[in-house]
Amino acid sequence: MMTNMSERSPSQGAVIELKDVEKSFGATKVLTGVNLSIAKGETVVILGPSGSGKSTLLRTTNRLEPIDSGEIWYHGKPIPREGRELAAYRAEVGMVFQQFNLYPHKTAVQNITLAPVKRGKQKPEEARARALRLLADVNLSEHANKRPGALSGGQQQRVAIARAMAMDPEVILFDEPTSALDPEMIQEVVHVMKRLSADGMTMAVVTHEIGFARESADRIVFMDEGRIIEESDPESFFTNPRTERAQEFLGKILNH
Amino acid sequence: MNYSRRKFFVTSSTAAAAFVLAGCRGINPERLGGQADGFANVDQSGVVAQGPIGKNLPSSPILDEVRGRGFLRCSGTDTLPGFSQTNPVTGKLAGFDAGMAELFAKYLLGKPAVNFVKSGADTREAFLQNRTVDATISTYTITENRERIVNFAGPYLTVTSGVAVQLGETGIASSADLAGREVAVQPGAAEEALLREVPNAVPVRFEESSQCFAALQQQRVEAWVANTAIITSRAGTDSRTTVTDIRFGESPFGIGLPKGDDTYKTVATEFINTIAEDGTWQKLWDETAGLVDRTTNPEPPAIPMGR
Amino acid sequence: MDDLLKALPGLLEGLGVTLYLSIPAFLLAMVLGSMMAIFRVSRVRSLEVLGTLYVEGVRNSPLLLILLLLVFGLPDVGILLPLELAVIIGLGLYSGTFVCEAVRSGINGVDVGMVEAARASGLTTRHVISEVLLPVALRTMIPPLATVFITTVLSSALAAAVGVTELTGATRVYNLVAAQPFVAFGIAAAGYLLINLLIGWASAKSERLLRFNQ
Repeated sequence: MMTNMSERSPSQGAVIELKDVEKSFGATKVLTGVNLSIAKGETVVILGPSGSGKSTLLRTTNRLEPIDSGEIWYHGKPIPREGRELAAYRAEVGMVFQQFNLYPHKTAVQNITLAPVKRGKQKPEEARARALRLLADVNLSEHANKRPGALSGGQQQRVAIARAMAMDPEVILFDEPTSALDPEMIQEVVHVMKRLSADGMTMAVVTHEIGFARESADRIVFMDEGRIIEESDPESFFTNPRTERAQEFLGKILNH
Repeated sequence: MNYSRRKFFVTSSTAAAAFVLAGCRGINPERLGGQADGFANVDQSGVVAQGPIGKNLPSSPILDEVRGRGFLRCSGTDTLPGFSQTNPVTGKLAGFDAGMAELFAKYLLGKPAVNFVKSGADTREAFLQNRTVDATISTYTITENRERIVNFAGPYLTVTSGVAVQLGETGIASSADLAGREVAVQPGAAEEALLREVPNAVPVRFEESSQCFAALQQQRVEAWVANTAIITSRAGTDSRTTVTDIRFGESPFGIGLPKGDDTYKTVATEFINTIAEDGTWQKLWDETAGLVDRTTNPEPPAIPMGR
Repeated sequence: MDDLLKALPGLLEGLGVTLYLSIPAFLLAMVLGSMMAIFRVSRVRSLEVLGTLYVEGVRNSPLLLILLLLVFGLPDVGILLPLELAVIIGLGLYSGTFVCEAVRSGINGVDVGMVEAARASGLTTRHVISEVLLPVALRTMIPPLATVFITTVLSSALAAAVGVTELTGATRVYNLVAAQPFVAFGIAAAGYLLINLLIGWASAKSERLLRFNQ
């Protein structure tokens, strides 16, 4: 909880902290006064109707979208704005996208090893061995040398998660990781995410998978019209949402 | 001569654009396709106005066709100063060959109605063979190979080649000294003459005589070979280059005609003899190529009938 | 026929010169064009302007004019390039504008998400471009680039106008002696066709090799 010590100091143990973040696209305000901190090992699930600013919030965190005002801190320091420092910061923050965004010209293994090798973090052989272990973790050993075009959506997303893991990130951002998947493939991805969460990975997840949120989230953040309007543990959020908007939202998705 | 006008416009605007592009730092636009001053007053129209009209001309397939059409289709170049080049003032093709074409048309039709078709050395035979044109008057050297596929009337003019070099050049005293050297030429008659005389010369071909001249000035080449009229007109008036005494290679120029109509060829031969005898030929030379080349004074031709 | 046999070495040499001009010119065009394309999509104002000036300035000039400027214009400001080099540079500059546009539309066709994924993984801009953007864009660019290459080969015929005896020039020389325009230019056309069929074949082959679904 916020103390009066200093408005500017980061919360204890926060990996990432957003303070008064504002963002507009042209005349449309998409984030208004957003404050959020994510602690080490925590899984935060961000819920909200579409257009509520969830994805933008996630994307400002690794500066895929620059913000208009406010601050974003990483381990107590403002995140870099550009150049090598920004690249180095991004290397510590993994991201998994709705559309997987694998590199179509590279095999599964090459997708995973590209960043570690190019950033000089791992030697090629070492990176490859590591990538094969990660692929084994997501049950894709036999697909290691296939290109994305030869993989199903669920398989591609699991490769994408392995790719994010390969950099040993401090935190992974999941931007609707199952929204583009056929229903029968959702569980294989959710399964991997649950395991990551259980293993103590710090995660910020934008999703509509209520099952995942109930089981794995340490905290639910509910957004509406660019603001965070509710923050609580999953149990109280799902059984006793405080705001009307959250009740409405839950009413809609739980009845489906 | 609509074509000439357009061509002139294109050349001058291109040259102007080039000048602007070059940042106006003294690049000579003439080399990019413009005009030499020396030929600005070449205009054969006075001579053509007094040219003869053929009497009692016979009938033949091509002659009949030309008469029916009312104008002569003639191919040639527009890049040879003194012979066939666009006059910047009148916008018309001016020069000895251009005048020959108009005189020939007048001889056949009573008026100098010529439809000019531009053709390089590449397309002369093809244009005659496929009857795109009725005649080619284009410093067209009579050779055995060509006579197999086209008819020639003439020669109406025989020129010698001259050699221009950079001022102070001492290594080139005879045509043999051109062996192994890079020599600027325009494709066609000059190139042929050079290779006949000095087979191991290295010809460097440029479309325009102004470009050959520029190449010599800029020391891209060691010599420039062209007929004496062209070469004296340029190199003779310049401070960086000079015309040598070397002369070689008689190039007999003929009027190229489609094969197969020998009556037409006979009429063309009679035309050449007529203008040679009545002084028109000499006047034409004096008003065109002769304006710039005072060193040579070619004889009017006299072609034995049946050649 | 005799003439043709005698002329054959000269014609083959002309074919060689055509390749000698168009291959380096195309390579130059590739380097220059790709660079300018990156400038044009860089969102750095000054670089974008530079790229646009290059494309609009050069593409809207006739190639012959560019060659004439390089061959006859530059010496007047003290730069005397060998003829072949001048043609290679002129041709490269000219084709580079078409490469630039092919590369640019290829880059614009790349899924933004892929580039975001590369940036999000911590790759520097240089690596994002060299490892992801260009290799992916390249696949869609192969057919238009092959067309540019073919055009470069055909445009090299203009070298004959500025003193370089390539295939067209050699054909003219042959025709001057033999007076057989249809044979002569038929041979030249066959020469160009041969080169361009090779380019087309290589393009189709590399497209197949680089297909994603393997």
